[in-house]
Amino acid sequence: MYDTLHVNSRWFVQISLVLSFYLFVFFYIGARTDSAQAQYIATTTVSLTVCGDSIVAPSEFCDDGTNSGLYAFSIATRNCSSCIAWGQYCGDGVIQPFEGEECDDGNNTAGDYCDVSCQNESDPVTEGGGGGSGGSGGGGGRGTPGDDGIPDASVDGGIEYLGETNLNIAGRAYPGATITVLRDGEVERVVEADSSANFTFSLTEQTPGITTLGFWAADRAGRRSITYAATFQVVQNAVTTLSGILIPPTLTVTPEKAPQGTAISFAGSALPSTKVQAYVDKADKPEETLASTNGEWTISYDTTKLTNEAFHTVKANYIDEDNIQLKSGYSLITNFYVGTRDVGTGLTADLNNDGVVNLTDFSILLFNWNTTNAVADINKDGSVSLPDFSILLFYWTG
Amino acid sequence: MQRLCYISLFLVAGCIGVFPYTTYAVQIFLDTTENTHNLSDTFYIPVRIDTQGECINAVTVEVAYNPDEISIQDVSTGESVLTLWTQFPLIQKNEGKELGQVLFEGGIPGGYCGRVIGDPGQTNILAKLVVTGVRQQEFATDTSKVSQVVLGPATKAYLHDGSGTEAPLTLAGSTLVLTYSSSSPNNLWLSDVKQDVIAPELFEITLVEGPSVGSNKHYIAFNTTDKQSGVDHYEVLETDPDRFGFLTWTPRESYWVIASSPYELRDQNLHSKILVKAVDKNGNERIVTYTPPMSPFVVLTQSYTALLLVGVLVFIVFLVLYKTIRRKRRNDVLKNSAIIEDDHGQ
Repeated sequence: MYDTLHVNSRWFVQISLVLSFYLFVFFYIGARTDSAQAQYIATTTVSLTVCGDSIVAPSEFCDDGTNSGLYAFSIATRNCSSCIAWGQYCGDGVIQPFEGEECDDGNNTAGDYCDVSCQNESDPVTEGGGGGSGGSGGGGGRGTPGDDGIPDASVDGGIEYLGETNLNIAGRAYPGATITVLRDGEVERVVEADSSANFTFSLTEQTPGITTLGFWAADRAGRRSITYAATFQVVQNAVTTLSGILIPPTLTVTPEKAPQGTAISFAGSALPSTKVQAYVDKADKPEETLASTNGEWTISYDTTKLTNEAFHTVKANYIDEDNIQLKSGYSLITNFYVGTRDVGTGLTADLNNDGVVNLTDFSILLFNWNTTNAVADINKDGSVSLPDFSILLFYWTG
Repeated sequence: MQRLCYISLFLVAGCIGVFPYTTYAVQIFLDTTENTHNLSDTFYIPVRIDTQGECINAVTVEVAYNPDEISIQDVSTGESVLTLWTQFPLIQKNEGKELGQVLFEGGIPGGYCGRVIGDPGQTNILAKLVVTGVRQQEFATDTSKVSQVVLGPATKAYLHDGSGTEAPLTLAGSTLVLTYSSSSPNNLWLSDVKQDVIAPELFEITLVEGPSVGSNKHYIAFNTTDKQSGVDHYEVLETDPDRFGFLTWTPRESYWVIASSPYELRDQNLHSKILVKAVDKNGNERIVTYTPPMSPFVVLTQSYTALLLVGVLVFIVFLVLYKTIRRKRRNDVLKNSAIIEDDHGQ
């Protein structure tokens, strides 16, 4: 009896250990796969550089914290100008008569006919007692020297220089696209992308603090993209640059309802010459095409393989095969119906049907909050609640 | 051998029970970087979110605490990533009850996908709880006291996927250690609020037509943010809600009322100018004005009024002229009659 129990227990232990091993491998691979998928989905790499954080980012030429670009009395104290170049200084090899320079030989060394503060030396010092750091202080209007005899870079005439709080934005959409820029949900600016699909603009005199910038584009055919948003901190008295924005492609389905077996067309705009991938329902393998040089793309899709008399969805993104890092987020998820039954359209977050999803729609949602009013029940689940709010925010246009 | 069996069972259970949680769920947590505080100090507990590579756009948060141990004085929204609020932070102290609660619910248009590379801040705060310890009689003899602050089961996050999908979520509360000190209390919140000299952001007022909200009334919608201490409240003023037509020279009583969006207008005829004031925690104000478009009826009414006035004036002028001419003619007739009578008499 004891032996039987002993043998059974051994078997139990062995089975348990083997089972544990397989479970470990299964979940470990599962977790890794989830991670890989998460990385696959979150593709667009938006980066932020702060001109004013004293860190020279790859896109910056210099960054001294203030970046005033004011005239400086030496190479050591030269001021960076908007992170793109050095401001004028004694030692830059260019005579600045308005700053009181009599000479500028490209250094701050005495004994070479031009002294440390860019004044002529009648009798060059050749040895001993050399060029001390105590600057002359200069004539009137040349700033206030610091404790070390060299003017403080951030001080101009005794008044501390505080740079403007500005935002520089750079991104890509589609050639000729109109990009609407939202700041904390409100329309801030409308800009146009150039023929290469690039867009840049600046926002001046911004309030420092946490800011969400949203971007959506309308292509030349008037099709709208999803709103792409980035939340970040605007640094006070510094130029914050947000770059690498990729507006996801636009997407429409024509026709929105088709009998099974007929072809339907997915079309939109994307970054020129990139590979566009359209995912129907939850298909792992996307339909692919190449966007033209003007960004237009079309995919003809055979509905034979889809379930008849049912709604389906499609979403698209694009990948620049030359640059594996360049991968957009997904487009709006667009519904279409395969079948012949008379059906209504899918979800709509435009509650007042004015063509935009904005504060008015949010207001309508709040008015009907926690009610069963179908006017604002976007997902038709019988109550106006947080899922409806989430859908409204997804389709937000400002 | 029995112990070995238990260990084996534990391993299997561990594999089943632990590994699912290693998948990448959104995390909402109370920041416990600093968890030891002076009992009488006022300090922050930031409620943060880590999206773990997902994009979310709406959250609802429930914080539970023991009101006998700590007091939530306020909730700072100045650094929040949320810009639209369906439920502005609500503190339910529930005095005398077991648990106090803080509830808030909001969203981010376009979604929030985590920290942008290079961002100098973490930029993942949903709200900051402003907390102070509650002095209890027996505390004087203790050196420190532990208090738990937890995130309740009503806490949820929704994916930015256009379908209103609830995100898999992990929650983490905070354990506070409150110590007694005779030093003067430090109120971090008060000093931060005093430093806020910037008014809330500029915003717009939108008129919401009644039928679109399933009502026959007119509303206004408004929303803004304050990036320092946060928006405290809104106030609305309608300049002359009771005036009608041309009687604009008799302004009626107008006053500020504390309001929230959407706000039902008192002047449903849309004759009044509307002012909305956003006030932050330090009392800085941003006022914006909205003049409703004149309805065709009002334009017509005012046109008729003007026409009527002009008509009356023209009528009076004609009447005066007519009477003057008539009097003159009568005088002339009388004068002529008198001359004729004189001629006959002679």
